[in-house]
Amino acid sequence: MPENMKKLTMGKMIAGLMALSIVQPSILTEAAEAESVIGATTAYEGTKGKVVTVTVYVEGAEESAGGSIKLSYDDTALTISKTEAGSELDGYLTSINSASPGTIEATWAKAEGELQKGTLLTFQARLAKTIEKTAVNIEDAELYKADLSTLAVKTFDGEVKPFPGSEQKRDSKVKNNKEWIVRLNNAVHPATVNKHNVWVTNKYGKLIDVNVQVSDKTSFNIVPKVPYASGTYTITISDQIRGQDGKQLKNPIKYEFTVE
Amino acid sequence: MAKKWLKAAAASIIAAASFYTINSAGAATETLMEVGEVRSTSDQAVVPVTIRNITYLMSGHAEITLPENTVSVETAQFTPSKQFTNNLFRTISNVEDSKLVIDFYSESPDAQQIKGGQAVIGYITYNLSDSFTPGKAVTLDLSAVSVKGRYNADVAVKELDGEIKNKMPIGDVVGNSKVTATGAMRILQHINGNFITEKEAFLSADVDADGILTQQDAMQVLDFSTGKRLTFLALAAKELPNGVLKSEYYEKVEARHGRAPYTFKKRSGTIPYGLKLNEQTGEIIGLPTKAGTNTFTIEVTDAVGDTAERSFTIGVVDSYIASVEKLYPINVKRGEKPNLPAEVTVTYKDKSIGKETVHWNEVDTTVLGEVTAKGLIGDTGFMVQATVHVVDENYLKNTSFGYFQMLNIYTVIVDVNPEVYSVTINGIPAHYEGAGQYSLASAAFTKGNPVIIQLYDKYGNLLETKSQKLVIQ
Repeated sequence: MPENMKKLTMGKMIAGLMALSIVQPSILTEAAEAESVIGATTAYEGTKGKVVTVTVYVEGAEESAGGSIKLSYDDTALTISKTEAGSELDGYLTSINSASPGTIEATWAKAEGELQKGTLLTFQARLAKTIEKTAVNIEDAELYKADLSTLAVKTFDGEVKPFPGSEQKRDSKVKNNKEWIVRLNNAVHPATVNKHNVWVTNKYGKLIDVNVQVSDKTSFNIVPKVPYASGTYTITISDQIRGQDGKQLKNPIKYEFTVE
Repeated sequence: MAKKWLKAAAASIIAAASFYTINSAGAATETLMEVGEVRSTSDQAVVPVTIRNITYLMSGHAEITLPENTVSVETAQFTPSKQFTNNLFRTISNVEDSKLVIDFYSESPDAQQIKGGQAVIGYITYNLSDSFTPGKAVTLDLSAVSVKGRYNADVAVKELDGEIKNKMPIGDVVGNSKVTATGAMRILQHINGNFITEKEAFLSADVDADGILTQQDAMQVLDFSTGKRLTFLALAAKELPNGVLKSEYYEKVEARHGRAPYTFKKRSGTIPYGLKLNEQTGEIIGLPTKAGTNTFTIEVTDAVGDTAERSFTIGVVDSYIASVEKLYPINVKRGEKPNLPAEVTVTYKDKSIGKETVHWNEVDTTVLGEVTAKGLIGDTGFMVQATVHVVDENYLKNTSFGYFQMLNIYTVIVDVNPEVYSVTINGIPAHYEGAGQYSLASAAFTKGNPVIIQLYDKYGNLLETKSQKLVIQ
């Protein structure tokens, strides 16, 4: 068992428990919870020719009516094939420009503000060479309130790299309404606990619709929106899950389980 | 020109019918070094220095100088662009008083290839003092340019001077002095009923130059902020007035938001027979020789090769009226009925002059901006037009006239609202008397004749034009 994972234990109402550690001890501050977050995901692939998808998500702390992001990437490593506005930009006027190699710029606007929590942008890119790691940096990010003032935004950069983490498997079968609780050694940055950084796939790699919710400062749960069909599933916990200090999880985790 | 009615029929919008597209970096092939024309309302202006239409670049030299004795604008620094600071070029700059000297050299023994044929060399930051007040402008003189290209050969370069204006940048809208999503948000709020009433902000928001604010303006602002659009160059929308068979026609299409000088070209369609487009000025002049309606597209190219186009329509009618008196634009408060003249003075084809009744169509004044009022003159089939500015303010509160018998001089006194910064009367600046009042005394004013009062904001934008007959009560 890797050092960042403790034993699987049973809780009162919990069928299973994973405990992860975050690299650095964190200091809890109220400010960290009040600021909006724009983050890019990590795509786990490193082989030349493979196509990866990177998502940029927003977890707004206050209502916003517009914003902008500028991403930079190594254009010798990634060739952008498609960019798309995310569902969180439905109803917004949106402009995305990926014509200039190495950068993607997106901006969006609406007359009235709303709390934005979800996908701002996704892009697909082909790996132009085999890589160990390449960064997707958020160079600039702004969110604007309807009164045109600026919101405080914290950004988390994304990556493309081969999956470096541990792959675990639960031997016994679980029920179809299985609720997983993931416990971390340190307080988690709640804005990074979302379906972009924690997801469940079936054996064909298809995403399963789950709710990912912070339950307390150090744990979150994963609940299926509809009962799982019988079969084998994998939970992936990205190293984009971050502590209150913004530090990434040391390694990502894949955890396989089978529904009876 | 004797028959000016078509010139007189004022500029107006053709939003629904207009076809509008824009391209960047068009046909210009001459190598240009350009100092940007920049607007700013903040205490700084950042001006790009760009080289265009060049494939290989070995080295270059340029000097950019502020006008002598300029105290309101000061050169702060020059920041080379990424391309001119990485391994491709070594860039050196030096500021001496009002002059900035820039030199750059290829870091390799060979000339560097310039992708896309153009590159921003860097950005000059100027500090703007409080005395650089709204509406003011300074020229940034570009001189002593020398450029070497492939094999160290000299390249002939056309120099384009720059300018800094204390005005709101096009697309800024909210006073950030840059184009961001907030400009688009504010335009969308305007469309939702939270109106942009300040003239400078409205003109900054009307990026497509059609006189009204629509979602298209917001979209273009967003595209500019992401770099999808590199210029707001546009041909101003205009509903061109009718021409009359065998009567002189004069109209002009105008470019906005690009770099002068402009050239104009017909791209498609047919201009009415007998009329010609002046490619340097945008004027459409001539004697129409065939009745009918013609739609055509004009393309404008600016000094740096950007292009934009718009379609226009001219109808030519056969009428016994040759021309109509000049109608000035009319301001009307939103939701109110414009005060359009019931009759107009016309010149008939036999050169006689008379009055004709106008039957004006309904004018939609629910949206701020420009609309065109159209009226039929009697049963002639002749259409007369007037530009109506739908506003939220009455800029002109009151006009009164005085008379000094001893000197035989009339005085015009106008009371205006606080947004008015200057007033002209028959083109002559009026004196500010305080408390929102301006006056002008002149022997040139004559009783019974109209005086033309024009009100401007602090940026020099025309807020209102009013023609008023000089009458002593």
